[in-house]
Amino acid sequence: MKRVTVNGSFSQGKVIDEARKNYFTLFPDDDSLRKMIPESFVINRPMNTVGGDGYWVHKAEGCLYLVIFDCMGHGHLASMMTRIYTNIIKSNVPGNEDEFPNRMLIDIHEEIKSKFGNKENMLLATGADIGVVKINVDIREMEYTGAKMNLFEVRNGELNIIKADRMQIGDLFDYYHEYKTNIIDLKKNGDASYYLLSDGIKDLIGGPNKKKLGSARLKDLLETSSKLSMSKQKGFITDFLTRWRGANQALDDALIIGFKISEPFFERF
Amino acid sequence: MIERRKEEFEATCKLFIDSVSNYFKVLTEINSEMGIPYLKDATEIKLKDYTGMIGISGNRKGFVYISAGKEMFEDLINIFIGIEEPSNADILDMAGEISNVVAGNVRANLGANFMISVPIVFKGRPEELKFPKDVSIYVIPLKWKIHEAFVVVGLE
Repeated sequence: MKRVTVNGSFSQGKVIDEARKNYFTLFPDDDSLRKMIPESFVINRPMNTVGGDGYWVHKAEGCLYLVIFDCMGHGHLASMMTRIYTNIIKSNVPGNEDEFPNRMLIDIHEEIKSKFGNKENMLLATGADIGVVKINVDIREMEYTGAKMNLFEVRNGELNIIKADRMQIGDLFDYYHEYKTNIIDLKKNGDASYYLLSDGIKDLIGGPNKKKLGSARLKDLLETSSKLSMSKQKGFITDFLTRWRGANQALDDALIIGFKISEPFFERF
Repeated sequence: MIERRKEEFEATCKLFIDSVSNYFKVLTEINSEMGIPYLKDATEIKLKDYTGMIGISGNRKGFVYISAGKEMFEDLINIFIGIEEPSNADILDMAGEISNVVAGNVRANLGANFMISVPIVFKGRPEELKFPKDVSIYVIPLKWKIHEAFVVVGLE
C-alpha cells in the first residue's frame, strides 16, 4: 500500500499547490528586496500553505516605500485579503509619493471601507495591522506610520520602539481613524537596524513552558541579532524561532522584515 | 473484518457528506443536494475546473477532495467576500478554504487519530497527479444552486 500524502506530494507525483505559489509570488523575495534595500532580509512563514501577512516595496524618485501588513485571520481567506490589500496599496502609493504615510493609511482604509463597508455576513475579516515606512533619500529621513504595528529600532544594541497608533485599518468603519507620522533622522541613526513584524512572531508558542515568545524575549532576540550583519540575521532569527517553536503548532502567520538604511542604501539608490 | 472496514469507510464517507451539506446550509443558507455515492476506479476519477485536496493520515490513510467548476467558486466568493469578479488566485483560495473547513469538521468528529494535511489546491488535472490504485474511492455528486461538483473520498 502506498502512503498517500498531500503536503506537496501525492503518490509518486509532485503536485504544485497553486494557491501557495500565488501567495508567495505576490511579494518580493529576499533578492528582490535586497535590490531595493541592500541590507535587508525577510522571513515569511504562513501558518498553513498560505497566509494573511504580506509586504510591498516601491521605489520612486527620491524615496522608497516599504509596507508590511498583517490581515486578520489566516489561511486561504486571509490570503485573499493580502491580494486585496496589495492591489489597493499598489494603486494608492505610486503617484502620491508626496503624501505622508499617515495620509496613505487613511486612503487605504477608505478604499477598504468603500469595498466592504456595506457588506454583511461576510466570512472574511477585512481589518489589518499595517506599517508604512517612507525613506526620503535626499534629506536622509525616514517617516513611519503604524496601525497596531510598531517599528522596532535597535541602535548600539538597545531596542527602541517607535509606537504605532492603536486602531487597525480596514475595520470599525463607523469610528474615526487617525494616525501620526513619526520622523526618524537617518543622518543620526545610520547604524541602527529596523524591524517590522506581524503578531505571529510575538505570539509564537514554544520554549520549555509552551508560552508565547512575548515582548521581553523578542527584545532580547532583536538586540542580539542586531549585532550581526543583515545577511546573517535571517539565519539567526530563523534558527531561534524554529528552536523556540519546537514541536508546537503555530497559531498564526509569522512575518518579519529587517533592514538597515546606511551608506550602501544611499550609494545604490 | 472486511465487513467492519467497509462499515467504517461508509461511516467516514457519511461524515464528509454531512460536513459538506452543513457547510452550504450554514454558511450560504442555501441547501445543497447530495447525489447517490458511487465507487470509482482510480483511473476513472473526474476532476472539474478547480480542486482542493486534503490528505488523511493516522488511523485511516487516504484523501478527500472537492472539485467544482469555476462558477461555483465565483458564486461562493461573491457571497462570502463580496468580490464580483474574483481572480484565478481567489478561486484557488476558495477551493482550498472549502476543502479545509469540510475536512476540519470531519476531523472534529473523528478525533486526534484522524489527521488531515493542509489543502493542496490546483486547477485542471496536473500531469503529476497520480492516484494510488489500491484505495477505495467514493464519488459523491453534489449540486448547490445550479452548480455541480464532486466530493471524492479515497481511503485504504
